[in-house]
Amino acid sequence: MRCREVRKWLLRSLDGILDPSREKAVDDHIKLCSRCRKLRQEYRTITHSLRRQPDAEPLPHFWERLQSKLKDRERQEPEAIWLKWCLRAIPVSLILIGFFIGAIAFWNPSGEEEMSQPEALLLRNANPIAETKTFFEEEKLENRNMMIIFTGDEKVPDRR
Amino acid sequence: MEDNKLVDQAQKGDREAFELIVKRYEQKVFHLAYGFVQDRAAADDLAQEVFIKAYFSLPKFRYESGFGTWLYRITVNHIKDFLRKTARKKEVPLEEFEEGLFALDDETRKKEEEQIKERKRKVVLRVLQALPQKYQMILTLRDIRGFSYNEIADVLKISPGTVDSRLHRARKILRKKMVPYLGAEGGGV
Repeated sequence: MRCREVRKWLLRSLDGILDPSREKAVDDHIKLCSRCRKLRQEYRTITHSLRRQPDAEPLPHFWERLQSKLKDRERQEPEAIWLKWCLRAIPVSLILIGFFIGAIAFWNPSGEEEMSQPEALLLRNANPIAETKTFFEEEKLENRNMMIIFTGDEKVPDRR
Repeated sequence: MEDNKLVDQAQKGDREAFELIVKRYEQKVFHLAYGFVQDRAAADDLAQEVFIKAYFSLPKFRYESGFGTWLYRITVNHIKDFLRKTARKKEVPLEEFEEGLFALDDETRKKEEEQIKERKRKVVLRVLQALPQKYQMILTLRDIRGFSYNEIADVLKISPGTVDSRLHRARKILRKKMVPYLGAEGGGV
C-alpha cells in the first residue's frame, strides 16, 4: 500500500470504521513508514484532545427556568402574531396603493368611442324613422327640403 | 414512556409530557451547545432557547425523523445562528501557547501531565473555533460529542458520503493549523 492510500484510510481507521483487511494493510505500512506513522500520531493527538473535552452540567433548575420563560412567551405570543401580521400588511398595502395610483395615472377618460349617426340618434332618444317620417308628412316641398338640409347639418361625430 | 408518545401528548398541550421530554434531553442539548461555546452559562442559555423553539415548533413535528434527531437539528441550527451573530470565527491568538507544546520530554510530562492535557485541549479547541463553521460543526459533532456518521448525516441533512469527505477535510485543515504545536514526534497522546 502506498502512502497516498494509507493517508486516505488513516482517518477512517481512527474512527474504527475501516474494514479489517485495510486496517491491517495500514498497520503494516505504518510499521515501515516513519512519515505516515508521525501523521497518524498527529491525528491521534488532535482527536484525543478533542474527545477529552470535559462535560459541564446545565445550570440548576433548568426546567423551572424554562417553564417561566415559556409562560412569558405564551403571553407575548398573541402580540407577536399581531405585530407579524402588521409587518406583513405594510408591503401589501404599499403594492395596492401603487397599483391604484398607476391605474389613475394611466386611465384616459377623454378617449370616447365615436358613434354612428343612428347610434347618436338613439342615444339622444330620437327615433330616426320617426324623424324622417315628419319630413315626408310636410306638404310643402320647399319646407321638406329645408328640413332635410338642416338635419344633415346637425353635429354628429364622424365615423372612422 | 416512548418519545413519540410523549411528543404526541405534548402536541395536545400536555405540559407535563413536555417536561418529561425536556428532562430526557436537557443534558444532551446542553452538552451539544457546550461543545461549541465552551461556556456553561452561554450553553445553558442556548439549551433553553432550543427548548423554547422546540415547544413552539412542536405542532410542526411530523414524525418524519426521530424526535431526538429533530431536536438536535434545531440545536445545530440555533448554534449556527449564534455563532454567526457573535462572529466567533475571528483569528484566535495562540501566542501564549509555545510551539512544540505537545512535544515535551517524558519527565516534564509526568510532572505536569494534567496541566499539559488541559493546555493541549485549549489549543486544539481554540484552533477548532477558528475553522470555517461547517468544519467546526462536523468536528464537534463527531470528535467532541461522538455522533456516528449516520447521526451526523441526519442532523445536518447531508449524505453519509458528504459526512465522510467533510470530516476528512476538516481534520486535514485542523492538523495543518496544529502542526506548529505538535512537535517532531506528533505530539504524543
